[in-house]
Amino acid sequence: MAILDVENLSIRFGGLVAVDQVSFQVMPDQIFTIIGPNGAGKTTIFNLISRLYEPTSGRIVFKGTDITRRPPHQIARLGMARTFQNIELFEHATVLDNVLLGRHVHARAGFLSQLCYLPSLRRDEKAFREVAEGVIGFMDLESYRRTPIHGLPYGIRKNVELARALALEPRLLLLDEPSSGLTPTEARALAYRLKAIRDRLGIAILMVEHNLRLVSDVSDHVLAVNQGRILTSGSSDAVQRHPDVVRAYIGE
Amino acid sequence: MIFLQQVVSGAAIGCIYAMVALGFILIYKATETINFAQGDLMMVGAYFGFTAVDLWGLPYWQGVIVAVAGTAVLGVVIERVLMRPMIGLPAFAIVMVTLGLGYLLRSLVTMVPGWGTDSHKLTTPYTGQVLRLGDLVVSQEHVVIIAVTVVLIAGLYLFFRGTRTGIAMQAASQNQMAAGYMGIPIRRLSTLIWAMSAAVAAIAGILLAPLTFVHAQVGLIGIKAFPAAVLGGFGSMPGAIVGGLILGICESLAGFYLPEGFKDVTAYILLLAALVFWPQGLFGQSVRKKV
Repeated sequence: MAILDVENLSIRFGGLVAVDQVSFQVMPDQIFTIIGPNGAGKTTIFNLISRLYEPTSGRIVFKGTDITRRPPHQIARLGMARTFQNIELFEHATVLDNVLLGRHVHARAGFLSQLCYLPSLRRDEKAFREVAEGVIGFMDLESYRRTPIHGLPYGIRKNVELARALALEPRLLLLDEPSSGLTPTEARALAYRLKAIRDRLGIAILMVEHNLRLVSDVSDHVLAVNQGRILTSGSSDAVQRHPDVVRAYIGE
Repeated sequence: MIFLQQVVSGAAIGCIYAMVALGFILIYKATETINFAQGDLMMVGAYFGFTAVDLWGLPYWQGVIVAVAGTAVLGVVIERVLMRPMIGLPAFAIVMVTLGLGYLLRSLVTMVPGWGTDSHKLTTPYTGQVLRLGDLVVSQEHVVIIAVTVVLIAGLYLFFRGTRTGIAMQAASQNQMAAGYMGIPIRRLSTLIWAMSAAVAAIAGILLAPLTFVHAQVGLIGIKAFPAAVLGGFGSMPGAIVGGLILGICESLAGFYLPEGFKDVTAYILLLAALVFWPQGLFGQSVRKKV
């Protein structure tokens, strides 16, 4: 059974149909990648699924729940986390605090126990800290734990954002161009981590990606879009060889 | 000794500025808009206090709680009815709405039966008493203002540092979109911030009422609290408090030692000096844009 089911999704900005009748399914053990030339509508599809935009028509079903009209904070609670093309972090907080904020959806302690620092809160805090440390270790961020975000180099910030998304312990991770701005070495480390996220943590990944070598390396399923429409979908090799895809990237 | 006397009474008024400035900052950090009706919320809070204590005859502290809660509800209504439809519009448009709201509140209160255009006196159990510390004589009104401000600030500090809601508010003030994807309900928090900000304004209004009486123009003090917020570095809560205190004390000293008229312009001289010499404010974070 699919973890994410997108049915006939469309959005219109004024007269422009940015996403037109797009349907696809992401399985729970998949790395699912959307490719396409600039302006194809990839990020728009992303912003529709993560509920930043209101679709004009269509349906989004996540883990059996219709989320087409749910606000972002509710889909986070259902188990969907995302990263952004331009990195959205809490700039004045430390790396550790950013990652800990990812645990917000799991906080249980009531208001009174928070004010009085009761044992239930201490248990919560201890468990949160353990998860956060695990994620920080996984992303190789140990030495930056207490460093505020502003002032960190780009590649590190990118890792912090992924770490924070993992701290939510989501079932589905949405990554918007995870390799953009990374050095080739960092991109290889990313490929290894994406596979580990799928295999060891059992989290499905839906990503938009430009680096076709990374796409071939990690993707279980690739969807090619252009001008808001689906061109083709299937294995990475088949999609990259498909004549419509070649034409969309290179031209007639 | 006269100097110290002036400092203490200045600090008390400074606490009022600090509370109104805190209201500015709370809303600014949560929504990136400036609520120019903050002083008028304070005025409404004072009227609510007058109504509960003097018109309805509730015991003072009960009346205060009713008035503060009532003003908080008004804050929620303002957020839901006026501010929410403005989400996504330019900051300028939102500021104009708050300016209009201020005018509206100042006019509306004069139409309420029992309020009218007269000045009213809010009766308190401590009016007229003084506290003697050696040679220093402090009026009980000033003592209460300072004490309540200290408690309020401590409470806000604990709230923002120690509770999940407070930390969620801090996160949302740094990056709303990211906070939303951490499961933080942004809109509900913004409603809560308006309630808190209105409640702080009401407390300030009720504390100030024994010194200035209750009338429709009392909220114009908000225009003086604005320089206090700027002085502290707009966006910093400790800054708002220190800025308010500095302003109150300078104003009090200027009123005593300088020729007549200086007292009323002190706030603006400070504001200009702050903008020229420390444009990022005492506690502001200087943000240098990377190009």
